Amino acid sequence: MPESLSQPILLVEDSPEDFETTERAFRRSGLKNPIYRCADGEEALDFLYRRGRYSDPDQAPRPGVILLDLNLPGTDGREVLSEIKNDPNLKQIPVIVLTTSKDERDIEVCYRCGANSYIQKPVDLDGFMQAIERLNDYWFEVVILPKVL
Amino acid sequence: MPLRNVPIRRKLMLIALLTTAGTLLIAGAALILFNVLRFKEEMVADLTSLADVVARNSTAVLSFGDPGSAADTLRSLSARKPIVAAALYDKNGKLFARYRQGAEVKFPARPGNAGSASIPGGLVVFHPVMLKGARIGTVYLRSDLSELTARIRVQALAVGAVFLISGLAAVFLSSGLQRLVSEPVLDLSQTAKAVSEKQDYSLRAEKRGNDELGQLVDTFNQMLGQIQQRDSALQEAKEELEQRVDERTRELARRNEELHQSNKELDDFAYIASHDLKEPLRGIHNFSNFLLEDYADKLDDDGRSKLETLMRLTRRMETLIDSLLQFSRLGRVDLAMDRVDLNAIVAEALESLAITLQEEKVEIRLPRPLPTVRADRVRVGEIFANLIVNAVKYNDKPQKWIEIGALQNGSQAGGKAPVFYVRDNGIGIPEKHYDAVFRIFKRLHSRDKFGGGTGAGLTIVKKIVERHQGRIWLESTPGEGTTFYFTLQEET
Repeated sequence: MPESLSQPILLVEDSPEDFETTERAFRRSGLKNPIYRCADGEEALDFLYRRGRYSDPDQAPRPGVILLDLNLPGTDGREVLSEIKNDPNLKQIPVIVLTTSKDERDIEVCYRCGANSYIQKPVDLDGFMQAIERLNDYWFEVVILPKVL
Repeated sequence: MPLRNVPIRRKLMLIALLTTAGTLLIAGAALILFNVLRFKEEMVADLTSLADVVARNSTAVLSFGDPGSAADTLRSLSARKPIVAAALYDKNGKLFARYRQGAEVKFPARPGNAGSASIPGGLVVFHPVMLKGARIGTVYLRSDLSELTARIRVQALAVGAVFLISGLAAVFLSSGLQRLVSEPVLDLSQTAKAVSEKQDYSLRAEKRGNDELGQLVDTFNQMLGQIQQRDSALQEAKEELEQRVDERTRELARRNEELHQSNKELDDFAYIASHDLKEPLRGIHNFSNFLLEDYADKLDDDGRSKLETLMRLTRRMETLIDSLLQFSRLGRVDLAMDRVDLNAIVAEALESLAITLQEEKVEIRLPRPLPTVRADRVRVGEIFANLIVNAVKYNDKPQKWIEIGALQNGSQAGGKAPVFYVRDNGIGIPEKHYDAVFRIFKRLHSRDKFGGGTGAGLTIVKKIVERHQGRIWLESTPGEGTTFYFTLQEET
């Protein structure tokens, strides 16, 4: 699946440590795709709409998959999700919610908005590594992603 | 109706009437009797003087023995109506001449002694006829009592009339005068009734005079006054008390609200703090791990060991924070109250701990079935699980046992709430630590002994029990074992 292997991944995550841990987990799982990081909701939307400092398309390629944390400073993950899924152009990008919250309301709201997966971050490192490995297997080896236009 | 139940008004009238009737009856009877006696005397006197007149007029006819003239003389008496018979006897006592109004009248064969006498239905007189000092015959007169009865009848009628008139007058007067007595009494009785029915102690009876009844009314009114005074004092005291209770209640409600608020803030604080504290902690742990992975060949054993200690400490801190989080969540989340069969709850708790219980060869004793109570299923499960875990953990006996049961109602706590217990034959708790064991993160032993733990278990159990309005306490003998008791509802 050369298509999936080259598609960039956008990780919206405010904590640089968590980002690094996630990236490390992906790399360990053998993921080769480029990984981009946005630290908050506003930055994520700028990235997706290619505005502000992301106006250069080379700096902000359209991601094949978005991994979204819910609790973000400023514009939070729920708003970002709703904005993506209400945009006819962006809505086909799979959004995987990756959060520490296991609040029933969050789960319900996310799926209602059109989230493609909801994953609670395992608290311990081994569990987290394992979860990312499976996520990688599924989304980048099993699933066929939509073509990047 | 017996006389004592007759209303006073009627009683008084009856008294007046009977008194009047009684005195009139006696007076009337006496009057009639007196008149009868006097009239009889008059009759005797009249008859005697008439006999004397007849005797004087009869001397000649008797002397000459002329019975025809004598009969004429006697017949002249017929004008006198009450004279029913008259006779003349000669000096030998032989009937000489006679007159009678009806044939049925008998004459005495011989004259009686001079004087008058009463006979049934009449009066008779024998009067001597004297001539020159010698008795030459006897006059006999007999009168009936028709005049007497006529007079008695008239008198009786008069007395009856007086009786009737005075009776009416008595009724009339007494019906007016009885009010002097009956009205104050009736008034008093009505006032008393009104007071008792309406509970209105401001009512007063009307005083009409200064007699005993007047004094009674005064005393009654004074009593009402005292009651009214006492009543209003009582009312004032009650109102004051109510006001004070209201004030206290408001104060209490305000304090309670404040306490509730600060409690909630504390819970929120604990929740937020533990949430935010966990994130960097995870980072420390993960990065220590990365360090170990990436730089293992550059570190010596001492460095690696220190990094491992660092990671162990972060894990420990994480469990502490988790406990704090769990504890604070207990205060924030509402209980899901339901009918809960405690037998099933205990069975679930034992099932979840089955591996540990088997490893430690713990004997579980369930002497009696447990009741069904209203409680939060999950939380009550946590109570039993925590207490069972402690009972196993703090036990150094080769033959460990745990007994779980409920006390008969009220035998321990004195209330109606059922008291549950978890008893073990473990190491026991010295009495001076009875309170400390419930304090969060308080441990009685060093971390490595008895399988470690954060020291939050009993704090969480206590919190769950308290959220159920219950109470938890313990009894223990060091070296022999411990019993934890708890209730799951307010004790009455």
